[in-house]
Amino acid sequence: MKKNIGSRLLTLPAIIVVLIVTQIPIIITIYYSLFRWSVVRPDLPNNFVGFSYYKELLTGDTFWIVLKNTINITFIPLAICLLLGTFLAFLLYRPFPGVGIARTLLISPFFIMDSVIGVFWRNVIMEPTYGLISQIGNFFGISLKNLELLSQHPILFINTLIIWKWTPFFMLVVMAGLQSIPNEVVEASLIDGASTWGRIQKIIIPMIMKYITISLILGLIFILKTFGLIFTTTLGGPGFSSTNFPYYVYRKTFLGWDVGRGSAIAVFVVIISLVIIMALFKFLRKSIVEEEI
Amino acid sequence: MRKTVSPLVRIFVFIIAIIYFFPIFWLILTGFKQEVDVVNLTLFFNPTLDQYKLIFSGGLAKFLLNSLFITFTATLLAMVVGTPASYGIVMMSRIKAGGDNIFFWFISTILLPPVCVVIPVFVVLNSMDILDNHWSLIFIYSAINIPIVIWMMRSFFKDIPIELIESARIDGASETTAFLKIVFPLARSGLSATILLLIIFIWNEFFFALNLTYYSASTLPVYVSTFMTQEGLFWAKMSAISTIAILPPIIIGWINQKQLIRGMTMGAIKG
Repeated sequence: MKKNIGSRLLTLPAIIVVLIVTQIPIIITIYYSLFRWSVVRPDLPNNFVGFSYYKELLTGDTFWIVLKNTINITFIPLAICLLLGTFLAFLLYRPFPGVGIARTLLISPFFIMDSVIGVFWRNVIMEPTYGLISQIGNFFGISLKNLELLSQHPILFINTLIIWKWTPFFMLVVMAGLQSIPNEVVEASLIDGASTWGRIQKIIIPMIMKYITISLILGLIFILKTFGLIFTTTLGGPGFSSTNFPYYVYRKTFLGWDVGRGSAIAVFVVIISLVIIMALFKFLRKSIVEEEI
Repeated sequence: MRKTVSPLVRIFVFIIAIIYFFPIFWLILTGFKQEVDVVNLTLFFNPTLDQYKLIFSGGLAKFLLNSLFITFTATLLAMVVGTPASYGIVMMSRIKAGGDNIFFWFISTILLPPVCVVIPVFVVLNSMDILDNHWSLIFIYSAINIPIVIWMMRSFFKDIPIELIESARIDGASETTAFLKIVFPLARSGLSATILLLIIFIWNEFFFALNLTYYSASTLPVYVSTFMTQEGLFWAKMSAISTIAILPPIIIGWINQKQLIRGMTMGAIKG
């Protein structure tokens, strides 16, 4: 019993600090979303407006555009990252001379800060006149000067960067799964005369399913937060065409100084995130906690 | 006996890896060019350190120092508060005292997007007049990273056999002594992995840094973002700054691949 109290005391400071910075603000955000309040005009009264911002959001066009963008900026890269990452993992999980170098090169983009990725791709790589891509195009005699990806296909542009950054994460997780398969299992299937495709389908895929699931859920949560890559490339534009929920909150709150509306959108983000987090926990409780204890 | 990798596949892998890495290579290369050579496709140019001389005498030093100071201090604080908490949770889980529930609560806080909390944080810091302050950012960064310390260290503490701790207790060691003399040395590899992961996260953090600082406490990611609309000007300078900004996390990542994946998947995957 005494031990139990000691353990609780050890966790207490952490609980308090995390409560102050992450939990209480969420409750305050819900509270803010019920008031008309401009940060730059403190002279104006803070009027209670009830749920009218929520109603306004749901009945307006922008919310639905942003929802659609968020889905496009989240699920498209998620699917491609998983496919590409799994493909690379299959190529790289077995040892051969130099495989360490190849892995190291492939995972590097994952550690780069978003603002460098955004600024560098926007300018040095994709700039329509002097950028690397159009220079290479010129070299082969193809003019890419009209390819204004940034304004014509902003979501494609952002997704390219997300995929470049996040594929290594999926590759590493799936590779860990492949390496966890015991040799005997593969050997047994070879002796039984299973074909390559049959072996992948019937033995390997089921054995790495847990890894694929966790990479998908975590990838979903991380990619849903995408902000820096948008801030440093399209700025959510043209119009709202590449604004996702995190960027929408930023636009309303820090560009428009509209605390009430910004908070209402943030509450939507909380709800969406909670749904995904619940799914993750259901999975984690099943696969980690029960297994380990 | 695993099937060996055929030479064709090996060559294919290297081609993909080189193409994938090429933007980073190009970024580093551009930092050693003169501005006039930037739009030149050739790999043969006279490498110069001019850009590096220029940026260090320009604005970079301040932001670099901010990044170093904030990353170091916030990592330290998060470790000091998070490590004992993680140990406490593992001990509670062992005697079924609700440790897992607390653990899941901590995880849920790290998974929520920062936009969900930034507005009140901004309003409060603004009213206290401590926006654009190093210590405000350090406090926020330590707090949001404590759950990461907890989830990562948990998977390492759990690997330590309880019998070791119990036998030390029977020999008359106090709880604190058992922790310092037995648990701590065994969890050392976990500690270093966690510290390195935190350094990467805090060094790269953009959202809070952008919204809670303006100039005097701004970190490198914010500084880099000010170069976004260059339209062909100062690309070499920007690339040199970016190179300095990305090198620490990349090098740490290279050394620490496996532990990092273990940490990011909450110990579900040992890597």
